[in-house]
Amino acid sequence: MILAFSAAAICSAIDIDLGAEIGMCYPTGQWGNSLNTGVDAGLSASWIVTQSFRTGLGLSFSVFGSSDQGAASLTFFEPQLKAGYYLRPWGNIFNPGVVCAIGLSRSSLSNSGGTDPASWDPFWNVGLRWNFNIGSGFRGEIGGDYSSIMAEMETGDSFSLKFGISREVEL
Amino acid sequence: MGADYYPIDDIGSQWEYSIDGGGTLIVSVIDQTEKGERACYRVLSGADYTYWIANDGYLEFYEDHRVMFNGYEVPLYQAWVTWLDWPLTTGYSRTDTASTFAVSQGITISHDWERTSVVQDIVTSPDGKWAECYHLKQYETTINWIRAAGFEPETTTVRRDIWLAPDVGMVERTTADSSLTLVEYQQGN
Repeated sequence: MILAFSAAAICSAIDIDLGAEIGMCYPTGQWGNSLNTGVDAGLSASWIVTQSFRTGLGLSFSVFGSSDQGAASLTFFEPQLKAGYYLRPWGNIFNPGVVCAIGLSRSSLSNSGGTDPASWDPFWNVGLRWNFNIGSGFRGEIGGDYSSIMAEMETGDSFSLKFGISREVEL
Repeated sequence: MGADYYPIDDIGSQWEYSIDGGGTLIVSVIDQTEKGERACYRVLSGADYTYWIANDGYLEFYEDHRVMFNGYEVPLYQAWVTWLDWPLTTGYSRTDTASTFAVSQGITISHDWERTSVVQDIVTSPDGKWAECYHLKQYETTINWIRAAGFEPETTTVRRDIWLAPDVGMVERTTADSSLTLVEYQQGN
């Protein structure tokens, strides 16, 4: 059955959802004490498995600056596996959904002429979305994510507000 | 970077250091007080008080430089100076300077001070007990000059190696003539 399903998927046209997101990130917990609000941006390509469920790959990049008088900057580069489930995919105005991602986060920290060695750590991310039609084949999306980087010594948790746009294409 | 590498904002915290050559140094966060018109934490280090302000992005230390002249203690420089910026990084560097003078008994005493702090690397502490420590090197030069006949500039240079462990603070400090090693740490409230 799996083989038949895979063959059917390969032989038929594949619907892909191409998306782009920007957002504002708010570090939570002690690690964020010396950081300001960050910004992030991401791109994704997801296979529309069913009308409601999609899964794919994404890349995101986020950057934080230091608070107060500091000169620090912290950047994250995150390749990830993504999945999303939407409750009303036919909905023009209201299509709520749940998204999640797991991946690796490359952290790079610099401050006052110094730079720590970059590290790769696993991370996870979950979020809620309000998806809606904005015309011309595009859909818009707003929502919030909570993500956590599972570093060796500490976790780096953050909350982010997301604004996205996507378009379905057929390959 | 989520760790606190100098947690002096918990009243009651106590660090017990063994002194190379014998003896013990107890460092305790006593209370909050006011110094130089700023709210700060008062820390008892041996028999001396030091004063610190823990900001989100940086740590400040109250520099209180004095000299003895003809039996009188002469204050030369009192100010809040940033001790470290957060977060620390390998290669981080900051330099602070002060150049001032005071007049005592009709004699001018000049005072020039410079301190450079550099984070060299991330290592395990020399005693092997504390992982992921920032190894900080500090170079501090003080030149005091009593501007009167027969006196020459008096230069003092100190180099310190300090190891800061995450959520513990200073676990080891060495200078040319002394060495401190953390024996026990109790976190306050």
